[in-house]
Amino acid sequence: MQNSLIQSCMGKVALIVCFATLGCIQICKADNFRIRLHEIDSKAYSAEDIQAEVLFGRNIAARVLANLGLWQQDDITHYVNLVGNSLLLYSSRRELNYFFAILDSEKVNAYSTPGGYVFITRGALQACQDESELAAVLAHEIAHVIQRHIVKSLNIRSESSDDLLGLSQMISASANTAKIALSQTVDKAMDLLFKDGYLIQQELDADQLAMLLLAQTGYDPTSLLRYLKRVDSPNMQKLSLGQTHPLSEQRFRHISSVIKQENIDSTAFNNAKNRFDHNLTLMP
Amino acid sequence: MNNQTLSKTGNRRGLLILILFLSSATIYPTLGDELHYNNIIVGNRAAGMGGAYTAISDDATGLYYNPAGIVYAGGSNVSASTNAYNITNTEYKNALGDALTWTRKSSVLFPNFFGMFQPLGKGKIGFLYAVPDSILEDQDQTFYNIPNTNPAVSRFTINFNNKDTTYNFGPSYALSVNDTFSLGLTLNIYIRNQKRISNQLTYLSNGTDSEWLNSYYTANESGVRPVLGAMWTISKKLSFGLAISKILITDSNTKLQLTCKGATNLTYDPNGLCQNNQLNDSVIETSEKRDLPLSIATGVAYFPNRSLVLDFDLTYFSSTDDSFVSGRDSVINFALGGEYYVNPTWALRSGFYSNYANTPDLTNHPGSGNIQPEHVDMYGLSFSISHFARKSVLTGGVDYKWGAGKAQLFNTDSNGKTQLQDLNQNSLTLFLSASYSY
Repeated sequence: MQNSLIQSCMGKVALIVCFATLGCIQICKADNFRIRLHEIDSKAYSAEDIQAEVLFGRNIAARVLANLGLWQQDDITHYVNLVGNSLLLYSSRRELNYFFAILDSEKVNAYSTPGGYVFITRGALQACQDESELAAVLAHEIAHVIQRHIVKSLNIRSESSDDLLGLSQMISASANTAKIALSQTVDKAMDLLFKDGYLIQQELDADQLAMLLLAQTGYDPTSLLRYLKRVDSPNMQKLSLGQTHPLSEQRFRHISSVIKQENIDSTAFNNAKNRFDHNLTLMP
Repeated sequence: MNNQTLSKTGNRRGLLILILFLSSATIYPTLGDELHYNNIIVGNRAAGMGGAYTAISDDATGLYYNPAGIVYAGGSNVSASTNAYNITNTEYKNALGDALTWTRKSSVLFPNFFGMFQPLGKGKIGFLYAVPDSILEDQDQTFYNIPNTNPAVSRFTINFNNKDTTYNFGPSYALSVNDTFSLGLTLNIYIRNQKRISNQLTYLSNGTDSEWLNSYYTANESGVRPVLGAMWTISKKLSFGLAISKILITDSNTKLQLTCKGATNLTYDPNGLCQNNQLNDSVIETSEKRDLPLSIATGVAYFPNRSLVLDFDLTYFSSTDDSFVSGRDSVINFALGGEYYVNPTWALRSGFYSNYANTPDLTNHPGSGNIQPEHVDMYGLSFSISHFARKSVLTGGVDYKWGAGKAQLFNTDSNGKTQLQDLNQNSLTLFLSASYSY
């Protein structure tokens, strides 16, 4: 009987909880309040994590090269590497060895993989009108690496520093599952690069960091906006490799707001057009 | 089926009390499997929180409790596994007269849960395997000089083996509808296998007369258990979860085989199975499907900071007209659980919950020929501790349930009087789980 009374009360409480909850539901941006303390701490990346990132990125880079092929023009590749490495002087991730290469595709796009493998297509290179625009494309891709967008999206971490790993795998019988999942993760990274694209917020963050790198290196930071608007034109869009870099008004507005907020004046920076033209004359 | 069995085993003299003792043990699943809904808490994190998880569900265990929650899980690929060891004791006080308590003990080690998920399209796909109930009894017990029996019983031996396990396994998919709302569906395959063997030998006081009674009972069920879940983000610190499920039996086979060799100096019902100095048997089989309740779980979780989360769940089970136990009452169970991070590598969890019986209170006037199913309301306390490494989590925990109630092991005696027994039940579950993200 006492139980019946308790259950009756609980029924009422349940209804109150339901209606109160439904009544107070409001549209609000989902905060990441669910992140627990152990997840915050695990954001710190160890040397093993970085090694895992490089190995993972190398795997993806091999697939990118297999898909699109390397444009083997040593002089121009050397020039692209010089521009890219100049940007790295101000990179916050100096522990990585970056590699810059040109992909043999007339489509306009650029890619970067975890660990510092940066690719620009022949088409994207030809769409540049000066060195600062080339630097802008590379800086945007470097920013994806610095900000670990793929690493975070796919949770690329080392297993060697996990002292519970063996025991956990033994209990959960997940060792083989993990191997299968690793292969699937590489596939997901390829989808992210070639099909799905980054999150729009990640693109905006990469744009912002790219402009910072450009300005610190001495390149015209507004070159990024200039380049993006050009390749967003109807004539150039047909050469675009899918929608992996959504050239939306949102992105333009964001870049413009950063330019205004940082009070960046293009006249104070160099676009190195002459040097660019000189090197690009080598293109066949 | 039950009534038929009862008619064959009722209305006896002398050893009536023992025969009915057997009958009731055969018919009614007197452990807390059929008569409660919250027998073994599933999962790793959820188990430590007393099963209060409907509004959290943001890890692999969410596949079982509320699949909508897995869209909020950290890490793209997660697998989790829990192994558990359960001990359950059930004591029927004075079951065979003064100071003769019948005790049933179950101890079983079983894989309680395995679940994993990963992104697929705009949502997450997962797969789970869960064992929400498992019993393994294997015991023998002998009573001497049973009081108040005529002819006097000098020895009564019961050997009892009961194995009853319920399995859920199947795929899940969850999708984030917008920033504050997600939906998920788990389509469990439901399988339950039970086998119960009871063997009883009764010696009368003259030492030369005896009765032997054996029962062999099997029940195999299969079906589906869809779980539809929803999760709302109410505010930056509150979430609300809802999970609706129902087991739909698609195939069922239950078989009871009774064998009896009657004693010489007893009087039996001429229509009954047991007859003087005869070895008789009877087989009853049915494919009747049980009607199991609709379950509606609601929960509210409060996340005041990164170190603490509290969840309160209420789970409603509808009443059913179940022919196996002559109907079930509706039940509302509660669960209150909390999780606290001592530091980034250690977390403690605790929970308090109910496991109410779905049977009515027993009365002294159940009606002629009826044996009432037992009624034990239980409460549970759980505790667990987790250690976090970079990509894995190890959790150890304990869950203890207890309760007291009434049982009716015997039919009305020759005077039409109903005897009820005091019943104590307790259950201890130790669990060890690992979670791994990659």
